[in-house]
Amino acid sequence: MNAEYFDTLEQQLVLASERLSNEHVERRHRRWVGRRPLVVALVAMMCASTAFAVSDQAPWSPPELTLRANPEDVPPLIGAPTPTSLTSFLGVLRTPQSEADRGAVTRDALKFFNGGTPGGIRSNGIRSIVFPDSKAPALVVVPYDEQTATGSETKLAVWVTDPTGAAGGTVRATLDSLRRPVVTGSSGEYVFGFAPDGVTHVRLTWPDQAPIEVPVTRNAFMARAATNPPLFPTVTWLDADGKTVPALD
Amino acid sequence: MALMRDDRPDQDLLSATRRGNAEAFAEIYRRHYRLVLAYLIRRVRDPELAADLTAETFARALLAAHKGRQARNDTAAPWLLGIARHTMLDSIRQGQAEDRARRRLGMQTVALSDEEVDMIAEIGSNDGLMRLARELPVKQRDALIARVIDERDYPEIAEELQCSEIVVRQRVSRALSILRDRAGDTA
Repeated sequence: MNAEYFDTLEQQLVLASERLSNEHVERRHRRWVGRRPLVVALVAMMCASTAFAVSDQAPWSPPELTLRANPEDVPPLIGAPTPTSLTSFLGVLRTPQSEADRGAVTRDALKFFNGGTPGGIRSNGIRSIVFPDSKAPALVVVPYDEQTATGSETKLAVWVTDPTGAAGGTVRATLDSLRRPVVTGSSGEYVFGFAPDGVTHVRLTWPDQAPIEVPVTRNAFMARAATNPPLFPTVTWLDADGKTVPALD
Repeated sequence: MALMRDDRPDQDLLSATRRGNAEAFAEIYRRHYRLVLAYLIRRVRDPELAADLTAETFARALLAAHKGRQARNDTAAPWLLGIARHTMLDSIRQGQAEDRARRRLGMQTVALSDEEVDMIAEIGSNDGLMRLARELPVKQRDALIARVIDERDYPEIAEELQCSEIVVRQRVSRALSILRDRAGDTA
C-alpha cells in the first residue's frame, strides 16, 4: 500500500516520539535537580567560578532568568564568550550583542529557560533573529554548556516563537547538526534551520513539490512549509553565485 | 518509507521506543497499520473515520509505549487491536472521532485523497480482507478472521473449528506473526 496519508502519519509519529523522549529527559532532569539541590548548587558554583576565571566580562543577567520563585529554576550564567567551535562559522555569534538581541522577544524566551541547563548559559552569546517575513516566527539563539562523556560542549538552544501567539518552544542544536544542511525544527507552518557564513540563501525541496529558495538572515532561514503538516524538506546551502556550499568538515 | 527492515520482535521495538528510539515505533506502525485499518474499516464502514481512528490508535499506542506499557505477546497486533477497539468505542460514545492523544502529541489532521478513500474502502471489503490474509494457511486464516475481525470468543471458535482453545490461540498468534512479517517485506 502506497498512500501519502499513512506515510505522513508515520512521519508525525516519529516526530511525536522524539518529542516525548525529550520530555522524559527534561522530567528526569528536573526530578534529579529536585532531589539533589545541594549538589546542584555546588556544581553551579563550580561552573560559575570557572566561568569567571576565563571570562573578561560579567554575564548578562536579565531578571527573566535570575528572578525566579524557585532558586533551582535559575540556570547558572557564564560570562565567557561563545567558543570558536561555533563562532568560527556562525557570524551571528561573533557580532556584538545588541539592544535588539536583549529585547522583548529574547526576554520572553528566557522565561522558559530554567535549571535544565546545569552546565550554564553563555548569556552574552544570546542573539535574536527576526526574519523579513513579518508573519514568520523569530528565533532566539542561546548558547549553553552541556557535560558530555568527553568533557563540556557548548550547544545552541534555539527558542522559536509561535506565529499563532502561543508561547513557542525550544530545539537543541548540536555542533554536528549545525555543520550540515538540515532543518532544525518547525513552528506552526514554518520550518527553520541554520547555515554557515557565506551561505546567502537555501534551496528547500519537499517530495513532489517544486523547490523553493529563501534568503538566509543572520545565519538562519525560516520558510513556510510547502506541506501541511510542515514536513522537513531537504536543504541545499547556496552562496551568492547560486553554487552549492557543502557541509562543513 | 523504511530504508532498512528492523527484524526485532515487537516487544523489543516498544522497549526501544521507550528508550528514545523514534524509528522503532515507526517500524511497529509499518508492520501493523494495515491490520488496524482493516479492523476499523470493517466496523465503522467509513474510510475517513477509519483512517482517523487508525491515527488516534497509533497515537495512543505511542503514548502508552512511552509510559512503559507493553504488548504481552511477541506480536503487538492484539495489543494494538485492543487500543483500536477502545478508541472506536470512545468515539461512538462521544459521537465524534476521538483525537485527545493526537492533540497531546501535537499531531495535525491529514486529509485523505479520493484515491486513498477508495483504497481503504477496498480493504474493508471481503475481497480486500482476503487479499490481506491470502498467504495464510487456511486454518490460520479462518482462526484470525473469526477472532480478530469478527471478534468471536475463543471457545466458540474452537467448537466451530473442532479443536481446542489453545490451538485456536496458536493459529491466531501465528497468523498475526505472518502478517507482521509480510508487512515488513512490503514496507
